[in-house]
Amino acid sequence: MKGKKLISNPDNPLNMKPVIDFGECVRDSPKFRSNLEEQMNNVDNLDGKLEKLLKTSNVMIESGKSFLNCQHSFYNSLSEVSVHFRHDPQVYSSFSKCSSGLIELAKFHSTLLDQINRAICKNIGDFLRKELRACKETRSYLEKLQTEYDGALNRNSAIPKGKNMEADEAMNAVNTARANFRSGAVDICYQLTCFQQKKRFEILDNILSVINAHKTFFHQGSDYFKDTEPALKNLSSELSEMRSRAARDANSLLDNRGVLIHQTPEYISGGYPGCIMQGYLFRRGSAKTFKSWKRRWFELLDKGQLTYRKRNEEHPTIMEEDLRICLVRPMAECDRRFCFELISPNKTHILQADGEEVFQAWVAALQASISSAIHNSPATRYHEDSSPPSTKNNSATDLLKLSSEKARVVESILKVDGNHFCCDCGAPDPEWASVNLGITLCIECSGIHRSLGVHHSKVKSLKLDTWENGLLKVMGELGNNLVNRIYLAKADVVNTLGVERATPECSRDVRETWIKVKYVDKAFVNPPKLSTDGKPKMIRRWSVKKPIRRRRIPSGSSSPGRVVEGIADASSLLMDIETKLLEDLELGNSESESNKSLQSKETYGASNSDGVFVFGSDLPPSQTDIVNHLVDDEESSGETDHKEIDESVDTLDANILLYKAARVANLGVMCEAMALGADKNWINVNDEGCTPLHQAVLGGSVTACEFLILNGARINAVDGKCRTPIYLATQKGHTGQVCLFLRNRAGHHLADNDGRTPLDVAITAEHADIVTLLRLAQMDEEMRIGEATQSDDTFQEIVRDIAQRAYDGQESPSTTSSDVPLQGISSGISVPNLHVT
Amino acid sequence: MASRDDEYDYLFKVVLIGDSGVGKSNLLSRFTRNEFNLESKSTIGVEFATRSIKVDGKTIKAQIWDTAGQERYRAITSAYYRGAVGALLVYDIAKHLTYENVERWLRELRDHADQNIVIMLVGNKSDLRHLRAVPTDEAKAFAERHRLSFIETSALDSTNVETAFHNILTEIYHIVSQKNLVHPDEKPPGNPTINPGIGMPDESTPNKKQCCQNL
Repeated sequence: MKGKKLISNPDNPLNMKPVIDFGECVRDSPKFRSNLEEQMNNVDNLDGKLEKLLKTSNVMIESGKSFLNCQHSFYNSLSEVSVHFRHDPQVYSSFSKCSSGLIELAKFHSTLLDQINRAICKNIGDFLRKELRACKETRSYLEKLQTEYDGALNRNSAIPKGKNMEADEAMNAVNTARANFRSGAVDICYQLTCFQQKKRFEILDNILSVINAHKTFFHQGSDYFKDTEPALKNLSSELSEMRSRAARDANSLLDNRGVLIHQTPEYISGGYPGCIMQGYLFRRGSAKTFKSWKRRWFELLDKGQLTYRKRNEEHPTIMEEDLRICLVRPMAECDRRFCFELISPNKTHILQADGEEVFQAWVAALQASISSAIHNSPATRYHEDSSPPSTKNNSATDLLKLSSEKARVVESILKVDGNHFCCDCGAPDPEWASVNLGITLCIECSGIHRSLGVHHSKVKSLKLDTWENGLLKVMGELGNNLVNRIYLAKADVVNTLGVERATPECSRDVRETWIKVKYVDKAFVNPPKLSTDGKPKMIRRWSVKKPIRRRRIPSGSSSPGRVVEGIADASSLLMDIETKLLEDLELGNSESESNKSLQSKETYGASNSDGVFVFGSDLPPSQTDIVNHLVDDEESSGETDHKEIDESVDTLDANILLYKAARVANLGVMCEAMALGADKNWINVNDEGCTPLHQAVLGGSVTACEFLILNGARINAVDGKCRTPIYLATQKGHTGQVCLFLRNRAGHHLADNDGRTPLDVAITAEHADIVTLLRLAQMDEEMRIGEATQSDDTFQEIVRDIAQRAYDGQESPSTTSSDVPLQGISSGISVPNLHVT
Repeated sequence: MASRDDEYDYLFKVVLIGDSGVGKSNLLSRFTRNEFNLESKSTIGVEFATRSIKVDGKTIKAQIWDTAGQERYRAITSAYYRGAVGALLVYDIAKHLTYENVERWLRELRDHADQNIVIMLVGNKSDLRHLRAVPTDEAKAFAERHRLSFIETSALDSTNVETAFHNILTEIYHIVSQKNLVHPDEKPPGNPTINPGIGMPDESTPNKKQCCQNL
């Protein structure tokens, strides 16, 4: 192989000696042929090898690049690790130094790859394409020339004698073709020769580039490390220092180990400000059957609260929020040791400590906490709510004593107009309330109210009693100012009657007389005066204004399909009102009732331009927004619903006023109607024998129902078709109302004239919540009959849960119609207050 | 439907759960009233029934809560599980999907029920032999893995219905009665929330065998 010899033989003269003798080539001798063939094979051979070289270098570079990519992501995750140490400047700076160093090194590497790529793939590739392929092309061109030359020769040789002309032409052609062929042959010889020379340095040159690239690469690396050497040394000494410090610290930590393990008490006294004691106790579950004991982390707070939580729970559950009303004592009759009971008016909690010492500590701490809570409670707490929030420095500590929940209740009630002063004597900071009147009272007046009897006044403590949302809303709808405008409308009459007005300092007798005259005799109540500007003849008709309530926007509920009660958008609201109107028309409202009309005076209300007197139109906007998280679930809001069928003034009396007010859930007007002597159980013979409570149900308001029940409306009153309020509420799908009625022990089994019970109605309507409630109530009753003991908590708890959910305006799972069986369920469970324990 | 057999020693609340249409309500009516309705409608909300049985001479009253399997008929869920000591997790042996969803129901139980709740996996409609989609062995292995009791029943032809309820109530009874005897010191301290399994694996094993023998 001549080609090989050329490369491998260093003695080969470097002057341009053609690889094929030109003489041979112009003669096209067999020797030329064989030489040419040999050379071409040689070229092919190199071609194949270079091709392979290119391919492998490509693969190498690609994998190098992907290696660099991997390295890159590795460094990225490295820097993520370094972010972990961002609060530790020492580690963080070293860390970032190292990772930036590594990134620099990676840059060197990528430069190296680039250079190899250029040398091999580009330069050698070019050589391959240009020089080598050019030889091949020339070779095939030579083939063509030869064919032409052969053809010319053949034609020339075939010309017969005598045809001189043709012979000359053919001869010329032969000469031309020969010249072409020879020049081609010379070309290829030339090219091959050049090629053989070139390949000797072209390839080697690029290999040298590769070597140089490596040299640079390692040089850069060594320079880098020369530069960073001190820093690296520094770091490694820092590291060994850290290590020894860690070992030292670990040892010193372990020194305490014995003490820690064997002498740490099972409880922590104090712990954080506001906490008296914390630690684990076993708590006996309330479930009747299992009596399972669960270990919980308890915290005794110095505001007189005991809370507990699971070890992995973030927020504690309040076990008792006011220890003042609790009693703690060791439990003797329990079969377990170290047990004590915490007894509150509602419940008895049984707790167990891990040992005698812990047991003693907890009991002592609880007892001390209870007695201290009792001693520094009422006197110091009188001022807390009278001062505006910004200036309550002194009372701030007192406020802390109340749980946040209680504080919220008190705050929301006191926020209502006039509630900062006792409704009857004006004493500041009332702590009591009359829930059926919707007013706040000082302790002295509350005593008188109690003595009136619950049919006149139902008294509750703002701070010691529990307040259901429903009651809070009743309180929010009324308030001292509003109620006094009704019950003290004729304040000027006071003198003529000779009744002394109660003051904070007045005697009990004065107070008692005042309150009795005010609420029992209703002596200061003004009958309606259907005029505000002395044009009584203008007024022909009347209606009750629908209170404006600010609607809470339900969070995160974009419910397609059915609109759940309480989550009404504008259009459904309109529909709501429209259907209401229609229903009223159908029911044939008492347009023509004309007895005992009361056309004298009216304390509040106003006539509008159409000559329609609208009760409640001069009411301040409802206070419900104050307790806005409690906004009624089913009440529609928004538009002042003047159009709600105006009644002829002839029909106006207290009973029909209450009746109409109940329908639109205007508690102010309802209150006034009752002050005017309305019968809470009045039956409207012109309206299918409905009672105000039926109207309140149809109106959709839970609060109105609650208010009527508080004021003694019969819960099982039936209309002309023998339908009870709970029946109607079921029919309307008003879950909140059903809960309310069940809580008040309504007769849920009472059937209508067709023998249909509320349960039948609920099943037909496929209302899962209500079906569940009604069945539970039924079961609860049966169990109570059977067991003759108090009912299981489950029923009450479930009613509370469902009511809460209705108040919260949450979607019932039935609307989250999902194909996946359980997804909706879990969302339905995220109700607060649901603790499966 | 109140059974006025007022005297009982234990009252156990047991819930029936599982996908819609697996036959929970019919299992309940078969057990409490010996009735079966081929055309029963979807349960809305929840239904209750009670029945008393005798175990070891003690009267056990089972208060069984039958819940809607169908999502849109379900009321609030955690209430179902409050105070429940047993759960029959029912699937339909002829509908594989109802078996696949068993894990979801288990998760729901773990999330909301008492950790000691006794769970029995029930493959219902065993009369549909020709349509079987869930092999008994597979379900049995699944139950063993999750430490559940297992039984196949047919509310239609009454196979094993009685046994299923009887077994789960007996198992609960053993746990509860044993629990009441356990001395406080013998109870391992702590970890009540971490261990989700049934408290007494030794209890469930013999019962499990019992059910399987009846297949």
